[in-house]
Amino acid sequence: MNTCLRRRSFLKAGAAVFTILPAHVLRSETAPSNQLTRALIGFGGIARSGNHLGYKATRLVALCDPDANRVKEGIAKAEENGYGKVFACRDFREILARPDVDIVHICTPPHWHGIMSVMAAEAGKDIWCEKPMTRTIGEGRRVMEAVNANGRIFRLNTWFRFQSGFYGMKTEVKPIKKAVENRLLGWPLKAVVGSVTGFSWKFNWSGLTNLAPEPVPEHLDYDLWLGPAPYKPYHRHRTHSTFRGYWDYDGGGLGDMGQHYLDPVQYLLEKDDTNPVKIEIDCPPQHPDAVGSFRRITYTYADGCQIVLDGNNSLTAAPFLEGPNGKIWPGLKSDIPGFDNLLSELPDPAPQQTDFLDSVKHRRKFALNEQNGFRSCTLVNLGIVAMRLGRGFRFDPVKLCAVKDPAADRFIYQQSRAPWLI
Amino acid sequence: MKHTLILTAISLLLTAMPVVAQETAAQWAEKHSDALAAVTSASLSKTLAQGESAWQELFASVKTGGISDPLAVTRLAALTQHVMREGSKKQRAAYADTLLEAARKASDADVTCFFLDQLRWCGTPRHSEAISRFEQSDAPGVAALATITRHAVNGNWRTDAASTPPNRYAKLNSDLAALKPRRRMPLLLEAFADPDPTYAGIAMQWARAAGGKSETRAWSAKLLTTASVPHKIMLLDMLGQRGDITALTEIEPLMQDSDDAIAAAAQRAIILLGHAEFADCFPALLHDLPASRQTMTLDNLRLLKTALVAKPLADGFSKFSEPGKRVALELLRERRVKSAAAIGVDALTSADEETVVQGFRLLRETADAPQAGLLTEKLLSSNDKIRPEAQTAFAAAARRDTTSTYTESLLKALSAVSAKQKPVLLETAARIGGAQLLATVEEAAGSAETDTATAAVRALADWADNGSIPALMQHAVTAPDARRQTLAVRGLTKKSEAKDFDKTKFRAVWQQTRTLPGNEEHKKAIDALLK
Repeated sequence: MNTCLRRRSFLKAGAAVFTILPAHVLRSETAPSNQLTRALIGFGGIARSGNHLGYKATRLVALCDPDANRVKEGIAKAEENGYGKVFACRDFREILARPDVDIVHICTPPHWHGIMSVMAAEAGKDIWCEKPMTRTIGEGRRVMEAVNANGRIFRLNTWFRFQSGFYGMKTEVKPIKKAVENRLLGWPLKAVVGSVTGFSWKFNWSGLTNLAPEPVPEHLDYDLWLGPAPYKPYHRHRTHSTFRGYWDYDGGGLGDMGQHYLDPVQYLLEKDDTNPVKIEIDCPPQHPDAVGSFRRITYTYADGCQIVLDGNNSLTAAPFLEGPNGKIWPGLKSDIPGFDNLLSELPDPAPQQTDFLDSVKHRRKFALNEQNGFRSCTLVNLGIVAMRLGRGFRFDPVKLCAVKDPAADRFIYQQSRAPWLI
Repeated sequence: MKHTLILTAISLLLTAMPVVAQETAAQWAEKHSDALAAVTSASLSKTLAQGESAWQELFASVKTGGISDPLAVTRLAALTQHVMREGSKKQRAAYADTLLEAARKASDADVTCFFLDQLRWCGTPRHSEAISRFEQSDAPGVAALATITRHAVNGNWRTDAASTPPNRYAKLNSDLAALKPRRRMPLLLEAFADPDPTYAGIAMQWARAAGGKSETRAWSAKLLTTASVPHKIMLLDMLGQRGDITALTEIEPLMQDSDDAIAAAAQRAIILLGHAEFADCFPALLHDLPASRQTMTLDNLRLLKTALVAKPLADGFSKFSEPGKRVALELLRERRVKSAAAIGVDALTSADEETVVQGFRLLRETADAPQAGLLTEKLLSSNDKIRPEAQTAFAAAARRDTTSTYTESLLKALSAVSAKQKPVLLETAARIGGAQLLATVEEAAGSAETDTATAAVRALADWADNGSIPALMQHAVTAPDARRQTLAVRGLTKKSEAKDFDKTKFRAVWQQTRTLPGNEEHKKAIDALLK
């Protein structure tokens, strides 16, 4: 087995990258045609969204997908969206080897996010990665290392900590942050994330328990689609728009929405540089291949802060955020007297770097980057580990491993299928 | 032959059936919740204690082609986790041995893979050699999974991952890491001089924490000699993050740089050095602030506590540029600084309409009795664009005024102005509400001047409280023109949709009004509202 396959392929095409300056440095800053450039890796549903296909601040020059039909669709869509003829292929390594690509948008299923981010960082690309950041905690750790070692800019495709209405909360996160960091609610805090507070855990993202093998469609390079995931016979439900339902590729509704919901909560609770020390769970036993659902997951931090994921919508009277001195419900309602007035007098929280183009040009860490993104993705992955174990466990947020729990560590750190080693 | 063809056709048909007809794992679990609830620690301990024959019976439920019983494989997976957690060393070894044996005996690759996967979660280093034999298999997926499983049972996570030759960025990072902290400066300076911003950016990351005051001086001096805009911005970011206040002297002038991005970076850097330091700098900034920097500067000032900004904004206001004034007004308004009402008044004399608007908005939050006369006058003198702001400010101040000064000022104006000027005052009265104003507006609704009367009925329809309802009922039926009648009905309809609308109370009033001769259609409409 050629375990160095990915490296050699890359080196053959891209050795020159190591010694010459990146193309955008040589280009004049002033000519409009000399915008920073990007490539889309994966051309499924999310790649066609405003933040990827539609993002006009950089110029789309390439795309790839292991499905030849999607490659064709991508070429057509690129032209429709005013990018002209773009380079298109099936294997992302060809994209990484191109010196005319400054940034890659990773729009694949999560099982690819880790290794693609690492390879992209090593290839000298800046990265805009879909959420969840990685399928396992171990991969996330490796991404942080690679991004840091190679001086790259990395951002995740979720944004609720710095803009937009926060789902059913009917407010942006900013005023809540003001209240929290000025200790209007006291400390520690408990957050409840479930339908009563405006969040759905999307248990429709569940796999099928019996998948009779089907012939692989000719247009799909299934082996490349699988990549680092263990081989399992092809069934259409494993791929494209339903992959979320399988442990090998994602983590169901928790994997899909977890980072959207929990990253802002992590930001609010001032936990961007740490993780919970205890994870508790109530869920049915899980099928070994298909993701099911959970009833409740509770994360507890060392300082007593908690996050509760209400899967079965039983916490009907719960506020979104609760501390010893007060509570906040959706709509920014609070039981603190004069809450609105108190908020109006408070300064804004520290500014966040929210312009990705500016981040790339001036090497400023993006608001949601590989460091804090790793931590919020770890929240998601800790929940997934608990589901697969069928029980809670303790976690060391410094050593990034379970506490005296080798069974949990086996889920936290997982090997990939060769040659896609991380 | 015919039988085979029929079976093939059925099989093809079944394959083509939409997969959504199947239940998902979550749906299945819901349906079989009782069975799953029986998969408890106690029941798993029992199965574990029963030994190999019980395990093999469970393993027999794993079938090829995706037809395994979901409950059985779920139970099996739970047993694997149970063994890891609760099983003795001997039980774990025996269980893993049995999984290995099942993998060996399986004749189908997907079944072999199933058992190898379970071994991945519970096998021990002792199983490593046996697992490695599967790495020679040609069956689909087996060899690769065996490699994964071998590493898992040995606790190896990154084995076999080939290292990549470092690119120049990684090399710079490792070269800097290898140097003692006080020896890094030459390489940092060299890297910063590189035209590639990514390369220079790595130097800036390290420079944040490298050295002391002399290094700060060296970097600050570079602000004067660095021509590249991206490099200058990165340098400003770094100096701010260093937190060494001695850089302030070189940074401050750059807040006035002709390049917006550099000016923004300079502001950010000073804020990072200290909020008090930025508070000292910003009044000078607001003197010449251009419109293009209004939003950026306001956003930065919002980071400062009210105690740091209120007095400098008020004291320096008259010297600020118009954009600077707008920044001051907006922030004082947001912070509801009551003592800033005088600033709001000052702003009303500006030639810049946007500044005037901000002035009214500040007064909306801060105006008190002393401003009543001025705001009344402004209701009448403002142009069409500004007037709504004046009305909002007046109404807000009136609503919080406990001395009735605003109400009296408005009443006085209503009695003195011409008919042409009355509508705007009536409209304003509606936003305040209350019995005192209501009486005057009701009177105006009976005016011989059609425009005044119409404006008054409109005001009753928009009245801030439900005190206008009796009058509206009357106008809906008896007003001399259709327009006023319609305005009244619409007003009643809107009020009836409010949560605090007391049907019982108003039914009694309506019973009397209803007897008056007038618009029968409207009577029926009001009957329906009060049902």
